[in-house]
Amino acid sequence: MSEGHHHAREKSPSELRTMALEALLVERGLISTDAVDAVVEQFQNEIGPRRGARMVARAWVDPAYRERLLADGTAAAAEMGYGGAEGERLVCVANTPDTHNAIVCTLCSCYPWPVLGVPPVWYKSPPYRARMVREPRVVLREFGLELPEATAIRIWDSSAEVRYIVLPMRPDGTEHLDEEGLADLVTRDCMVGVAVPQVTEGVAA
Amino acid sequence: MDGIHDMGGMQGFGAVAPEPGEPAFHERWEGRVFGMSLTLWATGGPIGGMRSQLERIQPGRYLASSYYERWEHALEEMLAERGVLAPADVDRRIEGLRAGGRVPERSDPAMVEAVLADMQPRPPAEPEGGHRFAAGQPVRVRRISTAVHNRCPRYVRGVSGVVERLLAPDWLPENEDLGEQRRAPCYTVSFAASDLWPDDGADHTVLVDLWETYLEEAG
Repeated sequence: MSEGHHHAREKSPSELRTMALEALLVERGLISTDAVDAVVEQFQNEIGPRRGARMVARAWVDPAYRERLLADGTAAAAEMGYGGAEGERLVCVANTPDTHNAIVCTLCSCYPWPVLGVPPVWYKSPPYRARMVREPRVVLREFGLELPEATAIRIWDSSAEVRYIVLPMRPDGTEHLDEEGLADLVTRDCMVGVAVPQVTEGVAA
Repeated sequence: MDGIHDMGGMQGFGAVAPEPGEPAFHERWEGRVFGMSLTLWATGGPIGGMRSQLERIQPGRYLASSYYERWEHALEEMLAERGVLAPADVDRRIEGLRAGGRVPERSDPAMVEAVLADMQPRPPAEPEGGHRFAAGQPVRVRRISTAVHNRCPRYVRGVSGVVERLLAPDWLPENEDLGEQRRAPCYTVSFAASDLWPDDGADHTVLVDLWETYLEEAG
């Protein structure tokens, strides 16, 4: 009770509504403060794209894991200890020299939480949801990804209960890197499919 | 429901705006909304599915709201529908907060355990067969027209595609609205962009996951 309201900044309407809702639900015994804290803490510090990046890196160094990942994404994630809500049916789609994959959810913002965390604002935004299925080449170009005309583009709209993750191709010049070093190259955007892993000067052999 | 949420293929929204170094939650209250929702789901609390609630938001409000503003609004609606909140409860509480009231705190280790358990791998769902269509088979999406919650995007309705892969049967999205407990096989169906938007001149493929109830044989 030390931080009095008198020196608090002006609260936004959403902030006030949320505080009011939390107060009501705590009083009614429907939530506990520490349970909400735990969710926030997990998604801020534990559950994020680093998990997916570790899976990708393992698939790059371990052909048997790659095979398992592509055959059953849910089981391959569980092997690493990842799973739960919004990851019960995980499917991994692999980029090849001929094919580039990307994911979207046109109806809401379905996203593989256990391996990528919560989605970024742009993924949930009308422009991405509307345009990614219709003009992916243009959208990818806006992300700085220019694909050769001959590359087939496959856009996965997660409209039912499957959640998708893209397995990017391992870049050349990374033979000297270990799994952790490889995971450093795999950004969230690579696993959504709006980017491909980049090898920067310092990393290349 | 043919709502504003069904955005695939719409035009005029402008450019996608990525934010470098984006945090999981931009403001504290966003994390609280997310955390409250997951806590209620993990403990079997008095809310339903978020998807069906979000698409009922009036289109103007939907577009003007941020993602977590929509979630917060949907939470209030669901709790009110189930009698947990009276219409003026939140507004009255806001007045209390403005007057210096605080959010009470409560600890419940069992609830913490429940939310953490919900973030752990689960035993694999038993795959079941019963699929009417086979991989490689041409199918057409039915022209669904209903106010009931469904997951059949407008941009594929009436369009033919090819079954890419069979997915395990799953609960129908319509169950909650209809008070039913039905499952149906699911499919990933592959569509050519040239069939979806014939005048665009695009050459990509769109893969959409659909319940069997949305599909018919392509004649």
